[in-house]
Amino acid sequence: MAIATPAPPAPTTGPTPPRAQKPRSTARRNAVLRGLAGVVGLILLLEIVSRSGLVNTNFLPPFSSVLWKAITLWGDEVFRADVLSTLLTYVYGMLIACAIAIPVGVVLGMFRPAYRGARAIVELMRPIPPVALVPLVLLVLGAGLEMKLVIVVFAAIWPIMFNTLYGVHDVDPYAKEMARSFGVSRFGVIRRVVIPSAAPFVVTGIRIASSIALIVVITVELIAGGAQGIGAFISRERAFSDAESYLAVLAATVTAGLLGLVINLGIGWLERRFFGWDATARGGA
Amino acid sequence: MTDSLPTTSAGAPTQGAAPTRPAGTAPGTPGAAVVVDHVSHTYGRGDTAHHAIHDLNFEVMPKECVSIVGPSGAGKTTLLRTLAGLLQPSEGAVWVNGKKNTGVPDGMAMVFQDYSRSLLPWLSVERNVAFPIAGSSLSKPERKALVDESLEAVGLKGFEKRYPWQLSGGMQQRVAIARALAYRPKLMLMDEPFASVDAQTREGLEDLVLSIRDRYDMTILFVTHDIDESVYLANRVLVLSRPPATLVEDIRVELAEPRDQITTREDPAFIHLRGHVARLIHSGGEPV
Repeated sequence: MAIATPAPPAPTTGPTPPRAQKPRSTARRNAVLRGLAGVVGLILLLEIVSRSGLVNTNFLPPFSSVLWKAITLWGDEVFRADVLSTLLTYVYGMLIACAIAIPVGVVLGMFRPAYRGARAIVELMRPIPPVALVPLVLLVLGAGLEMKLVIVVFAAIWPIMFNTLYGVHDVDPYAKEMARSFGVSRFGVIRRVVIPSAAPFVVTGIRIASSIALIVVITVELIAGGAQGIGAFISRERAFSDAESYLAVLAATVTAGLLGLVINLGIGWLERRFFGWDATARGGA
Repeated sequence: MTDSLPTTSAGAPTQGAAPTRPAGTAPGTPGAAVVVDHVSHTYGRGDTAHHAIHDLNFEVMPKECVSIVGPSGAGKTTLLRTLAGLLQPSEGAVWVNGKKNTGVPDGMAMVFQDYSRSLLPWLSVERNVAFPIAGSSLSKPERKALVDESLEAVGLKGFEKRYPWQLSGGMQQRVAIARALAYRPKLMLMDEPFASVDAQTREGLEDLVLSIRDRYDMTILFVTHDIDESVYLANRVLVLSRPPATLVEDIRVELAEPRDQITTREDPAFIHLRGHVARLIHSGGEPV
């Protein structure tokens, strides 16, 4: 009360030391190392089991030969074209899905009546397994890129749209009010507060959609005869059913897995790089 | 919205509101920074309706620093939101700088209670401060000068590149004040600005408000639940009753300037005033 503690005129709060970065990066490196140890261990186990003659090497060739095959396959022009086809379908599919899902998600997240109106249609369509659409789309569009795209887009739209919707809906009304109090227009509030605030959610949606999209591309290629891509390559090689083609099937599968891993790591890096401010991205990295 | 004459109910003449006033001009004393004219607000309707404020009338002259106190839940924030144009009152009107509020008034900046939510975590300190002027017609160097000066005024020079979540609570609220200053407001509204910081930080921030009040030509209205603070910072204290809130008393605070955390709080006039305000609040608006 009257006897107050001496109050310096300068800021009473001293500068905080820079955030400790080191322990986190060390912990991260340790986690990566442990993860790598697991992978190396599994590879060694596969190698030993295969070479010991416990199983038929036709079904389980040594991992080293699978890996070697995966590398030498790149010399095969057909395989390269197939990988390119899968990648292009994936990239186009993701771009189209984002172009549709993000604006729709923003609108549905901002305007409750729009959400209520769209909900029935969305809930009806969402449970349809994308792959179940293959025969129908094949009938209409044939086995080309368009067919694959339609199905990939259908699969990738939902996670992006729902994450955008929740992200937009989750924007702190307080922050919006702050912007409004400075005379920022309705559209300005969307552009300067709502979208940046929802962005980490959207990117998480894109990451989820991305792994689904890759799975769906390859599945569609596998089941739709005549298509191009890694899945089609696997499907063709399997038909020969000899040791060499078996190796090729495994090598193509490993390639697909690595592709998914690289894409996932890339998006994870983007999330940490650009959305480090977001608590979920900070804590969950 | 039409600028018709505010609802001056017959038989209850407002002080200063001349009945012959031409349409579209503010009631009350000419040149008043803020005129609150017969403002009432009710949330919802029917059984769940909450009558938050009832028939409030007061004026604030330019460069005044007015605190609004009252029992908790007394509609202080409702009143402030009405002044900020974020809420249209159910009845009556607010006039800021001679213009009737139909939305957010020009030249008004607000400092919110919860700094952790009002600052944007994806923007650095300097970009948070530049937020209100980012879309303005000012040139880049002009904007930078405003940001630098505002950060200097709140004692945060050198923290431009930090992010809000890297700063302590008191520093975050300083950033929010700097953001309001960068807007160069004529009217600054503060909604319990220091309710979420510790006591020592609070004293520093109170003195910061006194220093910016002297440095910039601003009218300041702030809501607080801290009785000492309401007297320490203000030229006038408006005491509200329990809801539906009415104006219990409009108290002039004439304490020696410059004010000081130790000597002002020892001043018998200060002690007397804080006691008076406390009694008013504890009685919930009944006469004492």
